[in-house]
Amino acid sequence: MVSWEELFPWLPWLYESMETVRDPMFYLHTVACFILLALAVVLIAGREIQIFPKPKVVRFHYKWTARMVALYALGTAIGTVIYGFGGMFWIMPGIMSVAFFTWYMLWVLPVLFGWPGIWAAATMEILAAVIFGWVNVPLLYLAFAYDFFLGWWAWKTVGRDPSFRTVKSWLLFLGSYSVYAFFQSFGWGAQYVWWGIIPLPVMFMTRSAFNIIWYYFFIWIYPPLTAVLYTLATRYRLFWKQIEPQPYTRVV
Amino acid sequence: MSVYRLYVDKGTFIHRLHPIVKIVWLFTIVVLAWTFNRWEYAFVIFLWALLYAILSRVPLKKIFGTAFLFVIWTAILSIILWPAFLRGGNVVFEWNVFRFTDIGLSVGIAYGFRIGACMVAALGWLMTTSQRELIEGLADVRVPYQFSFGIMLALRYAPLLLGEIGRVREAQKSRAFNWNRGSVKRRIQAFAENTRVLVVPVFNRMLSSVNQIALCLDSKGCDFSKPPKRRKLRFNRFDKGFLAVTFCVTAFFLALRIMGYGWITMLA
Amino acid sequence: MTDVIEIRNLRYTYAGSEDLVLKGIDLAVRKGEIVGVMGPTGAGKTTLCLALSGLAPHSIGGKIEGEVVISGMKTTEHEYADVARKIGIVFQDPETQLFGMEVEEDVALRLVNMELPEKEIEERVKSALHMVRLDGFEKRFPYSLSGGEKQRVGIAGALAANPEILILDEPTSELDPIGKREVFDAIRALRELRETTIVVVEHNSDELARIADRILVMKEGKVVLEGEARDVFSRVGDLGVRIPDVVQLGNLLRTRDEWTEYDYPLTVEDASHILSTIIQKQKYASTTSEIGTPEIEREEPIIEVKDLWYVYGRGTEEQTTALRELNLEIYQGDLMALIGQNGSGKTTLAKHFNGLLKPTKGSVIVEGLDTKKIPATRLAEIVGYCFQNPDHQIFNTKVWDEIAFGPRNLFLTEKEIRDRVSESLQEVGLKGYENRNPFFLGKGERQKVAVASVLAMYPKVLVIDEPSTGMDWKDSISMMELVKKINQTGKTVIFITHDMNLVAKYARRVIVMAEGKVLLDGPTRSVFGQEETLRKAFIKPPEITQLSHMLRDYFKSTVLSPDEAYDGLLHLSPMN
Repeated sequence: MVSWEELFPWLPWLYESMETVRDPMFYLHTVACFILLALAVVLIAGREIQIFPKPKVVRFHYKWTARMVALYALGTAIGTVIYGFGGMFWIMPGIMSVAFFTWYMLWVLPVLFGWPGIWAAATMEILAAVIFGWVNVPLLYLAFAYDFFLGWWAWKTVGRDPSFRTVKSWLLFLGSYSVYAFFQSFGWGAQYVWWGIIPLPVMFMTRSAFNIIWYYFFIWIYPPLTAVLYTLATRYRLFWKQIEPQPYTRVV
Repeated sequence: MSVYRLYVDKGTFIHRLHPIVKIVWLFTIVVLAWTFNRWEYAFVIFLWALLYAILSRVPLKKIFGTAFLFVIWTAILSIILWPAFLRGGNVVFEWNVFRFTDIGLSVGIAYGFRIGACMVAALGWLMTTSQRELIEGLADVRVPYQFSFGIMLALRYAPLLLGEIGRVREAQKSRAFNWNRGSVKRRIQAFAENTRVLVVPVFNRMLSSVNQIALCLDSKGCDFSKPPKRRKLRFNRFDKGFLAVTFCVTAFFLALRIMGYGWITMLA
Repeated sequence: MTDVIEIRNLRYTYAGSEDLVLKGIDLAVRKGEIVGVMGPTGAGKTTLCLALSGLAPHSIGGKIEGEVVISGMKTTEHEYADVARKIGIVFQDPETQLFGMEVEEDVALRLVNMELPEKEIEERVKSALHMVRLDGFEKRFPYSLSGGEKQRVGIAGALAANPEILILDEPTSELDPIGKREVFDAIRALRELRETTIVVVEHNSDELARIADRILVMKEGKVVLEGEARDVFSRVGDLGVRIPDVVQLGNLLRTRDEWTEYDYPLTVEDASHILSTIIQKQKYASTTSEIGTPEIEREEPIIEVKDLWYVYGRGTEEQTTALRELNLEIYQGDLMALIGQNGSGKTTLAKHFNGLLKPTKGSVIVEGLDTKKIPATRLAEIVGYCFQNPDHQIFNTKVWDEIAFGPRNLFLTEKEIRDRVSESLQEVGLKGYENRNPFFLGKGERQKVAVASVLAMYPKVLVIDEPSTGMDWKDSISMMELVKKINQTGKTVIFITHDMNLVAKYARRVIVMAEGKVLLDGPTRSVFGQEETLRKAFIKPPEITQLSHMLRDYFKSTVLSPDEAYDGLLHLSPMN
C-alpha cells in the first residue's frame, strides 16, 4: 500500500512547517478577524476611521438615489448568479473551493461602483448561499462584514484609479491586493475552526494556504479585465466618481 | 426550474407564518447543521429540516431533484478526502493512498447530511416565502428600504442575467471560441482572455440596464430616502408557537452537543 | 381646447457633455390629442420625452433652458413628485421597467409611492389592467410574460396613476408584430376610454399614420416638420423616416392627372377604396403588367434538414416541442428570410445550422457534415451566426481586435488574420475604425462590427438574427444593403426578421414558420400571395401587398413595393 508521504515526499516537511506557524497564525488571524469585523460594523454605522492628518472617527452620509439602488440590485444579481453558476470548483465541499469569478466580483463591484458595489459584494454571497443552500453560520456574518470591509478597502485604494493606465494605478493595486487577498484567504479559516466546521489546526493552514495560492495565481487577470470594465463603467457614467449627486459627503 | 422563483402558495400554516419567524427557523437549522459531525446526529438534523418541507406540502421532487445530486456528490467527496487529513480511528478499508477510517466515514457522511440539511431548509424556505413577504419582513426588522427593494430587484433580474450569460456563451461559441480547447498550458495562458470573453459582454449588458432601470424607478416616484408607508405584519399565536417549538428543539440539540454527544474530536 | 403641454424654446444638454441635444423646440399639445414623434436615431426624440416628463433634469441632471409647462406647471420650478402626478411614461425596453414579482405589484408600485389607501390601489390596478386587456394577469410573474404583455403591464403601471399625459418612447421597437399590434390596440382603446393626451415616439409609420392626430419629425435636435399625418408623410422626403407604402404610392401617382384623386390615404383600406373608385370611374380592367419570379438555379444544397425535431427541457416539467418533423434544403447563394411569430421556432431552427443546438430527432447536414457529430466551434467556420444584440459578443476595446477574435480561434497565422480583418472592415464599410472602441459606437455600427467579426471567419453561410430591431429606417436599410452585398459575393444569407417591408424588399426566398413547422417555403412573391396561410401564422404582409390583394381583380401578381403597384396601375387596360 502506498501512503501520501510516499507519493508526495515533501508532505511531511510541509506539515511540519505549517505546524510550526499554525498556533501563532491561528490566534493572530482570530484577532485580526474580530478587528476587521469591528471595523466593518463601524463602517456600516456610517463612520470612517481617519488616519491622516489627524487620527479620528469621522461620520459620513450619502443619499441613495435610484441609480445607486439599481447598481446595488444588479451588482447583487450578477454576483449571485455567478456564485451559483459560475464554475466553482469544490476541492473539499464547504471548505476549499476555487471560485475565481466570485472572488473577482467581490473585488471589482466595490472598486468600480463605490458604496452600491460594496453593499452588493456584502449581500451577494449571503443571498447566493441561502438560495443555493451552502449557508453556514460563520458565512452569515463573515461574508457580510468581511466582504463589506474588504470591499471598502479595495474601493478606497484601487478605486481611486482603476484604469491601470498609470503607475499610481498599478502600485495601488499591488499594495491593496496583497492585503485583500491575505485577509480573504486567512480570516475565514480561523472562524471555521471556531465553529468546528474544520478540525484544528492543520486544516486551517491548509485551507488558508490553498486559498492564498489561488488568489495570487489569479492576480495577473485582474488588471486587464478591470481596465476594460472601467472603460465600460465610464461609458455608462456609472463609475463611482460619475454618479451624481456625489454622495460621499464627510461630516466631521 | 428557476431557483429564483420557487414560491408555491400551498396555503399551509407554514406559508402564513411571519417571514421573520421563517428566517429565524432557517437560521436555527444552519446553526444545528454544523453542530454535529457524527452521521447519526447529522441525519436527525436533516430530518428535522425535512419536516418543515413536508408540513408545508412543498413538492419534494423539486427539492430532491437537482439539490440532492450535489449532496450525494459532496458526501462521496468528503468520505474520500477527510481521512486523508485526519489521524486516528480504525481503518475500515484501504486502497492505494486512500485510507477509509471509521471516523473519516462518519464525518464524511455527516458532511453530506449537513449540507443536505442546509439545502433542504433553504429550498423549503424559498418555496414558502414570497418575495413580497420577504421584503415586508425585512422592513419589519428595520432593514433600510433601499436594501429590501434592491434585494427584490436582484431576485427579479437574476434570471435575466443568467439568460444573458447563456446568450453570451452562444455568441462566442459562434465565433469558434472554445474554452476547453488546447493543452492545459495553453488554457492557462489563455485564461485571462477567456475570462474577458465572458465577463465583459455580461457586464456590458448589466450596465446598459442600470441607467434605464434608474430612470424607470424615478418615473414611478421611488424615493429611497422616504420609504412609502406599508402594512405591518403582525405576530399571531401560530408564529409564537412555532418560534417556541423551534427554540426548544434547538436548545435541546445544543445541550446534547455541549454534553459531548454527536461530536468526534478530530485530530489533523 | 386647452393646451396641456406647452414647450417654449427648449434647449437641453446632458450632464458631462457640452453639446446641445435639443436646440430650440417649440410645441403645444391639446388635451386628448395623440401626437406622434418620428425621426432618425440621435434626433433627440427620447430626450424630448425625458424633458416632457420632467425626468430631465430631475433624474438625469443636465442643463435645461427654455420652458416646459405641463397643465400650467413649469417642470423646472416644481418637485418631480408633483410633475409625476400628471405624467406617465413608458420606455422602450419592457424588461427594465418591471420590478415586481407579480404583475399587480408592478402596476401598483407608482400608487404605493403615492401612499394611496390599499383599497384604492387594488381598484386602480384592476382598472388599469382592464384598460390594457390584461384582466386576470394580477398574479402572473412578469418574467414569464410575452414582450407585448410586458409592455402592456408597463402601460398599465403608468395609467394606474390616472395621468393627464401619457408618453411612450418607442414602445414597440423591441416587440414582435403581435406585441406591436397589442400595444397599438391598447393605445387606441385608451383614447376611446378616457381623454388622455398621448405623445408616442415611433419608427412604425404605418401604425402611427392610423392613430396620430399630428406628427412631428425631428432631426438633429429640432422639429423640422409638423402637421397632420397626410401632410407630413407627403412632404417628409429624406429625413430618415419610413414613409408608409400607400403614401409612397401617392407620391408616385401625383404626377399623373388621371390619379390625382388618390390624395394620400393613410391606411390600406382607404387606399383600396379610393383606387377602386378611380378605377371604376376610369373604367379600367385588369393590369397588363405581370411580374414574374425569376427561376433560380439550384445546385446541391449546402444545408439539409431531415425530419428534424427539437424539444426544450426534455424530461422536465417545462418540456416544449419547438420543432416538429422539419424538412428543408438551403442552397448556396440563397438570400432567405425566416419569418414567424415569437415561439414559432425560427431561432431554434437557425441555431441548428451552426450546431448551437443539436437535433432531438432527425438530422441537420451542413456541407456534408452531420451537426450532431461536429461541435459548434468547428461548424462556426462554415455557418456564421450574428446575434440580435451585438453586445452579446463585443468584449475588446478595439474594433480590430474584436474582428480578429474569430480568426484567432481558428489558429490562423498573423498575416492571414490581418488580411481577413482588413477585408471584413472594407466589406462592412468600417474602414478607418480599426482603433476605435466598439463600446462607444452607435448600435448600427456595433452591429456591423459583429457582422464583420463573423465574416472574417469566411463562412459560406451567414445567419443574421433580427438585423434591424431597435434601429431607425435609415440604419435598417444600411444594414440590409450590407446583407445584400454579402449575398452578392456568393454567400448564403439567412435573416430572421419581423419587418415584412424588409423581407419584401430584400429576400428572394421566404420560409414561414408556425408552431415548429414550416408552413410556407418559396419565392417571396409567391409566399406573400398566400393570404390565408399567412393569416394562420399571424403574419401580415407589407401594406402595399395587402393593397394588391384587396385589388386582386386588377393586379395579376402579388405586389411587393410601391413601384410595382405604380407600374401595375399605369398598365391598367381600358375596359372593352
